Amino acid sequence: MNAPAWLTVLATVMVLAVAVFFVWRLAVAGGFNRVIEPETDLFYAAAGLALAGILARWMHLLPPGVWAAVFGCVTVWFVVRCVRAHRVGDRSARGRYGFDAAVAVVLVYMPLAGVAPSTLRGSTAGMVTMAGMPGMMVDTTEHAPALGLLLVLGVVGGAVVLLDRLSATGNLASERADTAVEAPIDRAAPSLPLLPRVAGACRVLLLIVIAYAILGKLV
Amino acid sequence: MAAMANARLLEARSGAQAGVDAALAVDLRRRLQLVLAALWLLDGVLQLQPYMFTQDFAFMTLKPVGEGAPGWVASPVDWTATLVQHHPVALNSVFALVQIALGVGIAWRSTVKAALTASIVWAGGVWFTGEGLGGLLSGDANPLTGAPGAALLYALLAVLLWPTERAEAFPAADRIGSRGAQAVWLMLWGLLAYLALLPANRGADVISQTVAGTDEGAPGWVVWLDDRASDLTAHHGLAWSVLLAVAFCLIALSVFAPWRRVVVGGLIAAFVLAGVMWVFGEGFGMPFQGMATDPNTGPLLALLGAAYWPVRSRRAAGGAA
Repeated sequence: MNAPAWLTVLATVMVLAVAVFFVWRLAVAGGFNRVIEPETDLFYAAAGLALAGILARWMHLLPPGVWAAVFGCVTVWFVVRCVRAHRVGDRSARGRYGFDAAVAVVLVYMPLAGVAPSTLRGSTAGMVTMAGMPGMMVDTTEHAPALGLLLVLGVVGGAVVLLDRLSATGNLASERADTAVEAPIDRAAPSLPLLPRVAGACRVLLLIVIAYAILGKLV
Repeated sequence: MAAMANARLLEARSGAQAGVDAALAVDLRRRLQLVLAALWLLDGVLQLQPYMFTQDFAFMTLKPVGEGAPGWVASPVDWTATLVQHHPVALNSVFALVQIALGVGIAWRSTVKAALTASIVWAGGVWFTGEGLGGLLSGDANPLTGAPGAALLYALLAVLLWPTERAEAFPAADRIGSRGAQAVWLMLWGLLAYLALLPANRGADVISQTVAGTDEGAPGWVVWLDDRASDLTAHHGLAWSVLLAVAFCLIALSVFAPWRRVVVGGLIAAFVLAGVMWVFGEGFGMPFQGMATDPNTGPLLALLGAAYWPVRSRRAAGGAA
């Protein structure tokens, strides 16, 4: 990946911020008496860390094979949860777990396909057309680029759908809050999610950075 | 007392869930808007590819666009390319951010109209200064390689998918009426037919060479596909051009047919041809070289076709209007 250094640093800092946000949510949700989905938050925190390592060498924490194994297990976990939700007719949970499983699949592809920080200094961009000529130097390209492109399409589509749902449910947030206040709820039981729109925006950001990382390493 | 409270709670929650479901429900128009948003977002991310931040973007992508065009088109293209050449990083960052913002804006429900308006302005600018009017005035614009330009189709889609309460027979007609939408379809596919028959495009080996030239850097299976298509069309360029032009004409006229089956048949043919052009003529937008700025016209033509899909009977649409 040979994008301008500042862009790579910016993207890395953003995904790290996403990871920190989800860790913070995990830590404080109980204190605020708010609902979160611990497994999902944990997954996105890990995704942020993994992505940071994919973007920048200084954030390299684990070997690619280990990350692939981790997200492979996560994929299986979310698929199982998705199937269970389907069996009990919980459409909302089914969609949520299905979405997370799909993101996990992309995160399995990335380390296995060789999406990684560049091994070269400077930019080799535009030189791909002469890649076959002797003496020309090109960065190592990722494996299965067609699959990578397909996943980019899915990731971008997922980001757009997520944005649409966020903007649609945002207007209902106050109504839901009113409902929760009016209903005689057991005060000890948490009912409202913690910063759901920020969490949604963080997921969108993560998806855009994933697409950027795959495309940046395509050649 | 506790049982009543729990019942009220369940009722309130189920009411809230119903409200969420209703809010999340999307009609065909909205779905098409979301596809358009995804394409803009994809364009923005493509613009973040390393190549775009180099001077080569100006030399190899922008400058050639003005070749063969009249001075009033070539000069602005050249000026833009020179500007980008001098400030590749800053300007490309702006290009990427604008396109990402357009995608996000269209996907976000409360900003759809503002984002669509901005996309029309942006696409118009790109079509003129970045695509040289799609090469229409250079005499060699080829529908197989993306003429009349992806940017023009982006602008057209923004107009046709504009949010409205009206309900016509197909989404593209909701805003500008059936006659207007049919006229747009006729002009677009008629233009493709005309371009297919240009002297520059009907040479014996033009199509074959065009197809062979799209697989640089592509995976083996794409190269294999292109090689077969190139062999198939070799030395028969004129016949294939005429065949393409006839197909384009039939598609152009199909939306005027009073029979739903004919309209649907024409639209399916449009999807197929858009796919064929995208795979063999446009090389999927040629992303495998890391120099693609958009997926080219194939997906946009398909999206346009989807906007003409007859979702309501004409009689019902007339009643609704």
